[in-house]
Amino acid sequence: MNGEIGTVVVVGSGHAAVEAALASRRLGLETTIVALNVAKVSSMPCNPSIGGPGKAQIVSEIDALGGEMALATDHATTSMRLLNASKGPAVQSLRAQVDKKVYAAHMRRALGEAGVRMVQGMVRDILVGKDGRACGVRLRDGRELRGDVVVLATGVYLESRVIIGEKILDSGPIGEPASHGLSASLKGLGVVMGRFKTGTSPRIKRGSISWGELSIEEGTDRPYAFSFMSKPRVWESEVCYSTYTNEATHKVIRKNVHRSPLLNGTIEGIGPRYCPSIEDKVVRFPHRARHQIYLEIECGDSDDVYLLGLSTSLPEDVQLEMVRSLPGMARAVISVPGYAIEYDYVVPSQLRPTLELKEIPGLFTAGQINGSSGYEEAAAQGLIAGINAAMTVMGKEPVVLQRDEAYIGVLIDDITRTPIREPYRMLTGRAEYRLLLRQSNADTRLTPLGRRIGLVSDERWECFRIKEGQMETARALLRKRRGGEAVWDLLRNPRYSLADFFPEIPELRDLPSGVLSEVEIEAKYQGFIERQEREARRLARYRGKAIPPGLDVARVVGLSKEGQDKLRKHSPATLGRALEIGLSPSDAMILLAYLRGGGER
Amino acid sequence: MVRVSGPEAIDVAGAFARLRKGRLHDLEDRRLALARLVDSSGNVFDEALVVVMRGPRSFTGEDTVEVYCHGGRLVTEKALSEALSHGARQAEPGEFTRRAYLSGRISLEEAEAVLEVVEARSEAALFQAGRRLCGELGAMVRRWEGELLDILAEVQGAADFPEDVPDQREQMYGRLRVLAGELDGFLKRAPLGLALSDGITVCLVGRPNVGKSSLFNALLREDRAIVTDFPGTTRDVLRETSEWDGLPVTLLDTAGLRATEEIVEAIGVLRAEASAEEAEVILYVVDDTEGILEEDIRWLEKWKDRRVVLVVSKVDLGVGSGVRDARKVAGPAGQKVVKVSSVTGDGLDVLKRTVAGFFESGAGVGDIVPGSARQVDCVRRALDSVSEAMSELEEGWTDDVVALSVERGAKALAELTGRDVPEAALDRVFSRFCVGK
Repeated sequence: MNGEIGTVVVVGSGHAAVEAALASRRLGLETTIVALNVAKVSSMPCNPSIGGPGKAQIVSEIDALGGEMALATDHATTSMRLLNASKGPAVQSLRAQVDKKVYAAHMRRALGEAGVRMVQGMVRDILVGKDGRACGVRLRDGRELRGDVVVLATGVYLESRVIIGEKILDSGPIGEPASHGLSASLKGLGVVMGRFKTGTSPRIKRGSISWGELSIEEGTDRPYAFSFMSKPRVWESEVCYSTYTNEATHKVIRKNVHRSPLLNGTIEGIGPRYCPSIEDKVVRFPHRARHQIYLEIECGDSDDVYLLGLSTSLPEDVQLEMVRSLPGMARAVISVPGYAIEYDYVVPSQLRPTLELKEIPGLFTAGQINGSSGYEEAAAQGLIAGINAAMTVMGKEPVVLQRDEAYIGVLIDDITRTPIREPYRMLTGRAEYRLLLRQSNADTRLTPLGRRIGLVSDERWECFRIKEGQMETARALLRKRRGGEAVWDLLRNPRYSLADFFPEIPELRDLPSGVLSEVEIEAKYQGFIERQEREARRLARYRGKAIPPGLDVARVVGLSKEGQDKLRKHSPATLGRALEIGLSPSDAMILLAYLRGGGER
Repeated sequence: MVRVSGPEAIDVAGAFARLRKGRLHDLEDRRLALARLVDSSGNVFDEALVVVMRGPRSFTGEDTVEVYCHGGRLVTEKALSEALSHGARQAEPGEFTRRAYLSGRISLEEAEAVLEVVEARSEAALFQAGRRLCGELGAMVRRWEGELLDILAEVQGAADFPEDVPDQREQMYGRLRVLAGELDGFLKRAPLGLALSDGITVCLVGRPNVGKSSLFNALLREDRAIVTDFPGTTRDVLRETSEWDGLPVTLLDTAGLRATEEIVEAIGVLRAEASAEEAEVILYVVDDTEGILEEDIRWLEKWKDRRVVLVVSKVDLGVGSGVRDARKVAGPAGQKVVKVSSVTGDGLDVLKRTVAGFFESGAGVGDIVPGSARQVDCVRRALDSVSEAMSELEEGWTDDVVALSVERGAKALAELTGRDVPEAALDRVFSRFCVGK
């Protein structure tokens, strides 16, 4: 296609890398993925599940912007549930169990169809030109790949080591090699690196479990889908089983705590509090008699079962003893032991909200390399990095989502502006505008932006406009007065639901249920939604203040030298952009005062 | 805290704030250091933290030194007077802010909004906020904030970790009600607390020559204002500080209120009106020999929702017109009437007690009272949010909107404590519940 527009090199082949590569390729750039093992695409070394509170919203946002994750999830889902169904629209979140092989196959096909080139190899150095811009990568074997921009999405592989009890392996996740040298290359360029740790649970051979002794987790009977373009389906759900640890399990753990590298000090990296190991849970909550364990079947034809809730880095013999104390697992066989993994990450305060490194133009980072955790968080960053890599090459305005526009905006704002103490995971509690950022309205919020960026197809755009029309129809029907109060206003009483009014407004039955439920939320929560909108607008007014293109910086009395330089170098179009390029608060105020006053003092 | 700003700020502060080692001039920029505060006779009166912020990288853009005293009004005032004796001038109200915000071209609200955009979650902003609160009041606010954070951790934790954190909606209402009671009790005591810490402004107004300046002097027991029989003598606003019944009072004397074509006097009248608008208490003075005129009634009507004392002056002359009229006028409006004579001193104590009385509602001995208007405002917003959360629970709204109200309440208090609310709530989720797979 338009290879002459420019080239993007993406390092890695996980969730971030795939979204980045698809975005830049679909925007017309020649795109190459370099990965340690190109046969492994979008793998799921943690549990085979997508979504959940905060994460589900991200997946739907990726979808609305034209990313791939939601489509792949719907394609690979084995069961899906709506969490927090009774807790309100701000926190309702889908979660799917997926067949990870089907998921990876979908992504591999998408990369192929888009025309992303795949190269196998270990990247060792970032190439930086005389102008200070990143201009490609050098592999360990000496090969060089040139690119106008480079996106690093190397996950947990940088200088990683895997720890199982006393055993320390110089490797990446599950037998993959670690990536050596790249971290040092980044440090050489002045990038500050940190070290985090995360862990996984043991995987058990499916045939070694007595399934009859376990309880089945019920799925739902309502139709759901992550992608706006997928038809909602009712999912078969006999695939998730659960059980509990018991006193025998805890005894095994307590007896062997001194052999835990997490608790005896072998591991120095900081692990996530929301994903504690079983030994951590038993030690910290000694009064809990049991902890729940979910058994997740990794994929339809696989022999592995993931024991969610049993994350551990105890020695293998202890793991076996522990597993065998669980109901139905007296003869269980471990196929892959649980392990802890430590890795280097780029301290993300060094990034702009575009995910480009402030000090190395042309170099973007996305995913776990930025200290985040989770497939969804990684994919979101990949998408934004891929889009902005392309925008940079094409000389267009970058895409930055605000905190009131998307969870993706909250995610990037949080990691780039506040120090992170542990691998960053999205939660609904992090989004102060969560009533605006519903999973159910991600399409309304972001499809128009996706269209402007160029990632929303004609077909999706047409479907979107049809839905918007149906929403308008529904709103009009509800707002019409019939005698007393309009149904729209009656819905503000929490006791009423839209279905109560079907007899009065039979036309409603002709509209799709997704449209109706969304309009019902708009009516019912109008007061709360408007309050959040007012608050968001107040802040947006200042962000949006335009800076005239020909501004003579020298005439702005009081600006610091540093501020003047930044404004000259980047000529930001708005005050918000000026803040993004690092203009200090006091300079921003001086600039705002100047713009308001319309001239010199 | 005493802040000295200007080209000679470091010289001035260095004259009374002595570092253990070296000169204040050599102190690294923006680095906190311990200093002894020394008065002119060489006595150490406090140990304090000082920081030097050299312009333009300071709030005002000029060289700035901040001295954090160990607390206590006395010590801070002592430091202030030392600064003044070494050549500083006391800042006018808001002068630092005004300098920083370029001579009023940008409003404080605008500046705060920009700061909010830029710094809302930055460490520096939180540090600033955290410094505002200490002592018993601080402990109390932190406890309320802690309770809100616990509730938030439960309701938000249950949404973010549905498998691990149990639903505790049932107990939430009772806990919020207890908290609302405490916040409300605090606010009931707010007028006294504010007055105690910030002092109050009392403004004398009235038509020309009704005896405002005589009263001003009598209340201050000194000849500060010029007194003549010629109407309109006081052209600017005079201001003196005093203490009535333990209340720090700033007393303002103003030009007589009347229509005039003389430009200087007209400005005086405008200033008088503006001063009355800003004062906590208005002493509206009428002359007992003249009674209350239509003009007076118009002014009293304008200020009917304010704390106004109708003062009848010159009662020693025994005419009684003002006293009679005052009964008719003040009765319906519920205004307090005090008869005074600046010549004999009769009624002055009653007047002072009447003014102090405005600020005494319900404060028990030993109760903690709020310290500043800003703190009161934060607590009031917290109470509003808690009340909203309670009604939302009663009306049967979903947990998500209840959580947003609780979060808003916690954030209002966090403006005083400087905590990052979502992060603090998350800390509580992790420490109280066994969360995560």
